[in-house]
Amino acid sequence: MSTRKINAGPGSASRPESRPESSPEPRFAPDALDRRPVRPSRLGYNAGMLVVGILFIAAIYGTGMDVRALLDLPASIIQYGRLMASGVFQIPDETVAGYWSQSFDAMFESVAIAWVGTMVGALFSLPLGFMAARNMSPLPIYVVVRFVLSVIRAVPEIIFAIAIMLPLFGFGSGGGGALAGAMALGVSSIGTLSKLISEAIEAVDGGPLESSRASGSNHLQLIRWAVLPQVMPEVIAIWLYRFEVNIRASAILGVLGAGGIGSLLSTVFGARDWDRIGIVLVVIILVTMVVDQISAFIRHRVIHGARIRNGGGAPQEDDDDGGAPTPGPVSGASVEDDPAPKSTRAAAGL
Amino acid sequence: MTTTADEATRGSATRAVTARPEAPKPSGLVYLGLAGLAVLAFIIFWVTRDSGEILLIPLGFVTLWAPLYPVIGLAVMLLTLLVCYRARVGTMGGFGALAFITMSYWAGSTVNFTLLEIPSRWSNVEPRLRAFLDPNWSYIWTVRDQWLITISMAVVATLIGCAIGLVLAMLASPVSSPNKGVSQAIKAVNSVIRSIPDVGWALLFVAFIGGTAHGLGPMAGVLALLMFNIGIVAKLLSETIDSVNPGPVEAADAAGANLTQRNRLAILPQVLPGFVSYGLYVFELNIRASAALGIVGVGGIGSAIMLQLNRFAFENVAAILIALIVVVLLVDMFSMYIRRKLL
Repeated sequence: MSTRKINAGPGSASRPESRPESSPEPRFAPDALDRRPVRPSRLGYNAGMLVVGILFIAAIYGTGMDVRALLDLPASIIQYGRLMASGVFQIPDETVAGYWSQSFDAMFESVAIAWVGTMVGALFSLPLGFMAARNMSPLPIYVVVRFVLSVIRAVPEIIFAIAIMLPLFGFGSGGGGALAGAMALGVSSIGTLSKLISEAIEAVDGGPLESSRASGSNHLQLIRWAVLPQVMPEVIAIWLYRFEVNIRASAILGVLGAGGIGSLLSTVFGARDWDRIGIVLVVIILVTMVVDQISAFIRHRVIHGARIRNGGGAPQEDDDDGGAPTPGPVSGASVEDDPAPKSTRAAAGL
Repeated sequence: MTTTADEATRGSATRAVTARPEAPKPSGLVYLGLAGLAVLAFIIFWVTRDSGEILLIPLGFVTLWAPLYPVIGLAVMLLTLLVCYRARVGTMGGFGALAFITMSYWAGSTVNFTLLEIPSRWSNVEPRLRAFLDPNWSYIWTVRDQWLITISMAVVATLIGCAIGLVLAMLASPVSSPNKGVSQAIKAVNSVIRSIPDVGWALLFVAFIGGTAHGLGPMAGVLALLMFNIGIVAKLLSETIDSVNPGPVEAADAAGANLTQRNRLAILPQVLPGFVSYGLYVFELNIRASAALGIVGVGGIGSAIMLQLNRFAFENVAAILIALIVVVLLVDMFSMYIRRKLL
């Protein structure tokens, strides 16, 4: 490679081509900079892919699943899908209308469970978030709270439901199961919510903190006037995001006996009543999508504010209020143009 | 609440010498309309109430009655509106507060929210908690086969789900998709996939191809986790692709790359770190989810939990759950390690 004369790399063309003929050294001696860049070794990458491939095959054996079952899958999807579609698209007589309204009731109960669970989580997560933020709390509290939060995050919500909430509040839709599910979701939300909130607090702009310290505020005043205005939009977005997650999570608790759509799902699947299964699934999809849309809209509105460039909007913005800690828009500037806040997406990886 | 209050006092922190700028007064008419909404909500609460508790308001010459909880709700709503008005919160903020209270009231009454029964029902929990605090340690090791199945299911579902999710995300993001129609269609499909909860997918596939009873549990479980993962990965990754740096994409276009080349060379390298971390994230989710999904008859550790639960062998359940916490923590640490190594 290095001996190649033509196309000796960038810079070779600009070298002086002609030198005094008398000079004994070659006209052009390529040095290290003139070589074409060497293709980096792909050994690590290839080895990694190999390991992943081996892992994949080993895992397929590990599950002990019968891949031949896949052959029958398309046929049964078509068969059962047709049954479900016939359930959904029939003209609803009284019974079928009852199925629809029952499905909607169960789904709304799920939404209520998720809302109450998110509220419980939100109530505890704000103070805990402050305690778990390094810039807001002393080291001992920080360490202890962080540890407790990571334990809470490691425990799946079904454990809270099975171990504490269901026996405490009762089973079933009527018998307090919904409340049990809500409390289980709430407790397990605390871990994630507090972690996200503490990250938002740690990323806070230091200017307002400094200025309120300089003007002699105590710790509570500092939180109230310097931190909360900055983080509140993001915190609200985090809560709403968790609300969406909780709607889905409430389904599994319902199967355990916590009411809501999960109970209905396990009932209709237990009976193999494909008409009703189709109706329930359609209701789930409809309600979840609508709730997601509303929540995404509110998140976007809360983070980016109402200011639409061409339309003026509400005259809330004083043009000359120099360094005041503006709440919404400033913290919105740190967030990418995206319905979910950055920390929510990062914590997509929580 | 706090935000809204802050919004009002935003301007006051600036000038100490001159008159402090005040937030503009919100329109009283709109606030009256909001109060009207509150009354409307009160009427709806009244009509749909479950509890028969009644509040009596003696006025001297006549005694009015009203249902207790809706009246409390109305009082809270009106009080909040008053506070918002005095704090000069914008009308949108007032409406948000009102909607929040209404939603909370509705949700609370739907789930019959009460904490008063906890002391009387505590006796139900105590034996269970005691069993959970005294796990049967020797049982932990007996379910290792189920653990193997759970982890294998998670690995298979993660790998296939990430691959399909990558393709769907490429098609769904307007930056990398062939045209707008494809992008919209894939987005719609994706939001349908995402809106069915994981347990819904598990029940569907158990019904389609048979559950643990037929020895097909793991297959159904893998398929359910697969759909669950595709939804998550496609959503997160397509949002990442949306916000990709346009420079390399333009360069690829200028150099005459076709769509595949452009996606492969200009977009994929940019989103690869995000892709890996989403993959690790869904792997963690899969471990948790497959523990939960065992309840509905897909294989893995969840079916062991369900079995012991039905036998009321809480010591054994406790042992499995402790192992579950340990495994989740280990997976968490492992994925953190990989993330730090790769990114």
